[in-house]
Amino acid sequence: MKSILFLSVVMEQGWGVSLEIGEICRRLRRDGVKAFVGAQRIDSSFDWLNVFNVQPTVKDVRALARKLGVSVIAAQTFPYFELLPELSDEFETWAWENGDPTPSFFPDSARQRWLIAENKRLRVYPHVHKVVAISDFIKHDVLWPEAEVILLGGDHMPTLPLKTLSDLAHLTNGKVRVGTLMRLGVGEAQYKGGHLFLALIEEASKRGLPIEAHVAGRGLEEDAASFVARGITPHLNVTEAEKAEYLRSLDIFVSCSLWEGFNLPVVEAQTLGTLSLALDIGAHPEVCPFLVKDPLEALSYIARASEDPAWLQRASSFAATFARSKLSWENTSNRVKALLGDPQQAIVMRKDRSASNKYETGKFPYLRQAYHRAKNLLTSPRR
Amino acid sequence: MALARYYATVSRSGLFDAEYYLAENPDVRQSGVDPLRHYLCRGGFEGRNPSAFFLSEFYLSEYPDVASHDVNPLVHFIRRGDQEGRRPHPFFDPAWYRKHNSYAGSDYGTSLAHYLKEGRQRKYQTCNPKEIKDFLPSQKETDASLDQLAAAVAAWKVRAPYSTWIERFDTLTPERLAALKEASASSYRPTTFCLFIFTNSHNLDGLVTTVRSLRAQIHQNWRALIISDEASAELTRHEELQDSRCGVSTFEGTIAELQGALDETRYRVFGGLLQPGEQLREHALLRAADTLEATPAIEVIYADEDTILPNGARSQPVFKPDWDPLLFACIDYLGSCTFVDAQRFALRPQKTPSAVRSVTSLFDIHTESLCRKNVFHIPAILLHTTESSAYGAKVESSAPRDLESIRAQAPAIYNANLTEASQDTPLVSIAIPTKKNKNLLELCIDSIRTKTKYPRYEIIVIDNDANQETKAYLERLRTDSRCRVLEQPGAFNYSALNNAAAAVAQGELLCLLNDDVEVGCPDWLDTLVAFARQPSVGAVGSLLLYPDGTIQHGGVVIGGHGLAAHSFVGCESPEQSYMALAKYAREASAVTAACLLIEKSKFLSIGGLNEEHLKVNFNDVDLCLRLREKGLTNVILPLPGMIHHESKSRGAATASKESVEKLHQEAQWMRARWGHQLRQDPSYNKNLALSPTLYQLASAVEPDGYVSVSYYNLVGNYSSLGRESRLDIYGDASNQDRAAQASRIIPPPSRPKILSSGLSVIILNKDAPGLIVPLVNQLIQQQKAFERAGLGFEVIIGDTGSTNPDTLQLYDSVPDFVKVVRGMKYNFSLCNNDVESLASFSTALFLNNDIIFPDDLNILRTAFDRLHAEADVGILGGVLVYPDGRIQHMGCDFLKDTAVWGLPYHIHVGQLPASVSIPKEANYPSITGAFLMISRELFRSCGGFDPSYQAECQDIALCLEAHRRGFRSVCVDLGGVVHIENATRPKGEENFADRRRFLRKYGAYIQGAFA
Repeated sequence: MKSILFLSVVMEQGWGVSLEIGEICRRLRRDGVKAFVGAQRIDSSFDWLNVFNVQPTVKDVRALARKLGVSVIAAQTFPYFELLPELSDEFETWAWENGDPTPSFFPDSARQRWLIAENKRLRVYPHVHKVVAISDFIKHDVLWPEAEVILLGGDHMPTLPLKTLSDLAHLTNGKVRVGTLMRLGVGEAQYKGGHLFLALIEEASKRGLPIEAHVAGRGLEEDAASFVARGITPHLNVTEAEKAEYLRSLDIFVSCSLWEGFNLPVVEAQTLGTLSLALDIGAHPEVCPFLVKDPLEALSYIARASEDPAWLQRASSFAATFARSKLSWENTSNRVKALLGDPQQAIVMRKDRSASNKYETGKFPYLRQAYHRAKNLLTSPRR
Repeated sequence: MALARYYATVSRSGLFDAEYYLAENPDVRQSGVDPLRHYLCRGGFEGRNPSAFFLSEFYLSEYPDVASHDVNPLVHFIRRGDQEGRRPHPFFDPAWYRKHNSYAGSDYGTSLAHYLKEGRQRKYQTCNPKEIKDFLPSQKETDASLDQLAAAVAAWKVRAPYSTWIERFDTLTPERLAALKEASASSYRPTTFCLFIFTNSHNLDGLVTTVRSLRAQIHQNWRALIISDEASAELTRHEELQDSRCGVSTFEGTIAELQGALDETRYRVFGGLLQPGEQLREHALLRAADTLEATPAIEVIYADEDTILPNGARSQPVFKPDWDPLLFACIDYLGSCTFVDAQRFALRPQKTPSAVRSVTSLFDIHTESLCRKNVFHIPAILLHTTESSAYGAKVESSAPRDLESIRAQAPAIYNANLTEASQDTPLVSIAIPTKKNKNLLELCIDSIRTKTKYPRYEIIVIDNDANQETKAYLERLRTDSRCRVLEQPGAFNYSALNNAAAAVAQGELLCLLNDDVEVGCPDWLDTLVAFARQPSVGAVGSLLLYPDGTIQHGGVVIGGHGLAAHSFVGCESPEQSYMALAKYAREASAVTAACLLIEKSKFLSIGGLNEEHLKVNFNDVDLCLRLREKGLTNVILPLPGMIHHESKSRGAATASKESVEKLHQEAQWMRARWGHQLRQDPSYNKNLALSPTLYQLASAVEPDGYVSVSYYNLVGNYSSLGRESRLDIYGDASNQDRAAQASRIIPPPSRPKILSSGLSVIILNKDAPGLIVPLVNQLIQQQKAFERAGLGFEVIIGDTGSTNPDTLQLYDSVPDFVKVVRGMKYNFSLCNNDVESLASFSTALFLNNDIIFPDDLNILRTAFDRLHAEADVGILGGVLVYPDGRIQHMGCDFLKDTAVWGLPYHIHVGQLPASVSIPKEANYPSITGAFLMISRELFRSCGGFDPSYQAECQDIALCLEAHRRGFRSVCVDLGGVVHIENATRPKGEENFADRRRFLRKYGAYIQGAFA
């Protein structure tokens, strides 16, 4: 089987991409696959992975890949993506797409973000061997129908027993403990749906629902001010262990995010046994069985939980069982192994791909047009 | 409490035949557990029958609502099913029995009990004689007794399933064939297959059959080399062999010449061997080529096979395990449908054609030369063999290899160089937990001490609060220098006991042994040790027998009985097991810890047994799965004479309420931990059932994209979607649109509280006087039944633009409790939600205008009462029939076919009620909005009908909203309610945007709740 070098700007605790690479490499190495990681910012939590410091230049990455003797280079973040075409002459290259939030969520940098995404479609994807998307949604969002979909997992969280009635906060203090987890900084607040979470809590309070609201995430105290003003308890910059404890302690986890390529917190909360509600956006349909069309629908479930704790306990178990059985890092690494040439895994993947790649013709002009435009623009396609 | 109640109910019913149960289920007999308790806790759910006249599997498959609610089938039948007319047996129709025989059922509880106690002697008929003729055309006596019929069904079950299974899951329809040919023509597959056929002039018919099957291949890139032992003009001239791809030659010199040609060829060639008479299926080479081109690393590929009988019928399917080098060393199980990389493996020099019996004798293939990952198994029947070349014939004709020779080959099989190391004999620590069964423990230890040839072992008996008698024995045992006693008092925790033993064990190897296992084979430990020491081997287990010689354990099938189950339980002998697998050494996903050997370092490296979550059950399975996760292989060996007096020492897992609870709790943990692997046992085959009985044909098979799976009735014009397309859930809107929709917070208008109890019937209508006039008149007649009970009743018609004078006249002439809301613009969800907001009573019935009620003035009252009888019933629907009597609706389920996974369909649509047993009431995932009754409080809590849907799925979505909130939907047979479907909507009108929206929102939930 081939060996692989993952590239990411950051390999630090608290970053989804770092965690993702760590979990995949852990399993690949266990199975005897040579898997390495190159990054620029590295913290001690990934010491076990022995991450290599590599500058985002073709020369440096090539030198590292040669030194390690790898056959595949998988870029996970900007600006490593942009190096891949030049590396394709010597290595098999993968553009591993975690996706980019829709540029219009960032009015100040929308054009720049759009250009980055467009550049990948025009100058990266057609020149690499594989585009990998972390969800079916990302495959659509990056406008690349040929992308291979590899879902992520949630079982890096501790496997705790399913919740019993006595585990529900609702039964101890009479209030349903509702919470979310998001980056609180102003830059990301809009697409992370902070305003919707605030509106949800406000409406719950208007209706007199017995709830206790929490928010956790990266940010400064001033970022959390608007939450505190509405009686929401903030938990800033929690560690991984504190995050797990926090997610488990909630009765209901709500994600009001408006763009998600996968949404690890939703999957983590469910894996920990907490019922999670998420809006019908991004990749939520693939990871969350309790999808709601808007925050008010979420409110109706919170109301239901306050009326009937036994239902809440059953629904929490359902969500946990769903996440634990469907979204595991074992499946993720098996799929990576399939792409690396493991025949036993490859056939499973090929079957799925044959079904999902056949879009109904003519139904998605925007997708097809963008795809063909990108392909036609190429003067010398590599493959 | 429930168990005690059910126990009493079934005991009283006279429908449980303990003797029959024990005779049919040797594992239960051996375990010593109370048969009725076993049936209630496990057997019923596993499809075991309580008597010859009640078929649990039939009942569960016939009435999926029962299966979906985890109710024991017999308990259900006694408490409700009999009254509801549900059949306990294909030939026992309770309703027919009661009607056509002199029946005084009250004394016996159920009609079946009546039959067994009275009707049987009086030779009462148990169902319509016509049915007997339909089911068993050869049955001359249509008045046969149920005893005769039960025997016939038992025989039929043995005979019929494979043809039924083929019909359902393995038919290559002309349409499918055409589609595959078209797809194949559009993309070139360079892989070439070179098929060798060794024959002689006596085998001409068989040869022609084989070549014909080759010429019918969709994948055209093949060559056939027909090698005859004599020059035969008849062969070369035969019309069927006049194909440029067929070459005929004599044996002399051909192999050497061919090897030269293969060496020179630039294309990838896969070689195979066909016996005259064998037939490849049309898509066989295509499927193999597809696989080979997707994964170029494959060097050997093989598929499943069955036997074609002289009359053309298919029989004896052989569904093989994935690549198993150990099994392969014992028997060449790969079979005829095997293709090998002809450039990688040389042809063997052959002396005579008759020496070439298999692909492995044609090509130079050895187990040790194959990399595990380069051998691929296609789990599908791609070849029909002849009776003489079938797998069964091979098993009979091949001389079994003795364990000693396999043992000697172990290092080669597992690519380990252990020559030096394997000569020494490391110390083995045998850990035996015990509690109170001195006699069995003594038998166990005596058998080890007297029979074991292996020189270096120690015995660690783990004393877990042993009784006095056992303690006295343990004291005596201490005098033996090879025995130690480890005191581990406290609650029974099998994992902790063994982990404690491992901690003090001095041996390099650890043998977990139950105290009720009796060793009967002198070199048992030598053999286990030889395998356990291979670096890539994890746990090694043994074939275990009950004292009567039947099999107790032949490995564990992951996913069996919902989680994990022993293979071949109750089999009379290893030879009688499926593919005779039990008689061979082979790999298994897991083995029982009743006798399990493992290197202590491997045991400790994965943390030993899970003493936190799996104290009693499944700890061995978990251990083996963790070893497998680590890349190690588990092995099961057919050691002779290993007896397991199963659960004699501790009692069966279902012996007490506490142990049942423990079992459930630990099973739940296992499902959460290993759920994703429950259908992926490489030592099993996806075409075989995981329950109720292992190694039977599976009752559901995931489509593979090649053969047709045709057992669904679909909503709408499904064919327009195309079999291969998957409904793309993100195709109808960009994320920006979805985000904009989700961000729109529009608080619902405040609506008055619902105070009065009663029914508000809500109908949308435009013109259609022929439908609405009689319907309203029928509804007016229903009002009295509500009035008598002091309940409110009203009908509200939302008119969407009627101009027909007859309709307008109706609106003007109705009584006060029928109201008309005019001027609405048709939108199913918005109009119904608006009309609902005007209703006065606690319950709403949404009704299509093309419904016709039977002449029953209480029909809506009955439905109303039923809806409110149980708190968790949220929505009630009615069984609906077309005007010609065929079923239109009796609940909706979701497609499990992966290509169109999750779309709803009407169950049994278009079938005649006589051909389908319609239950009086059943739970379904959803019901149609043509007749949907719901409490208005729940309706509002669910947000009403979702107006995001333009044309369809609104009703299904409402049912799922209720289901997510913990309320089920039931469909009740109200006695012939007619639905003239599509009277108001053109047939085939479909909205794919709605379907995408539906699947996007509920796909994951359906996957978790109904898959």
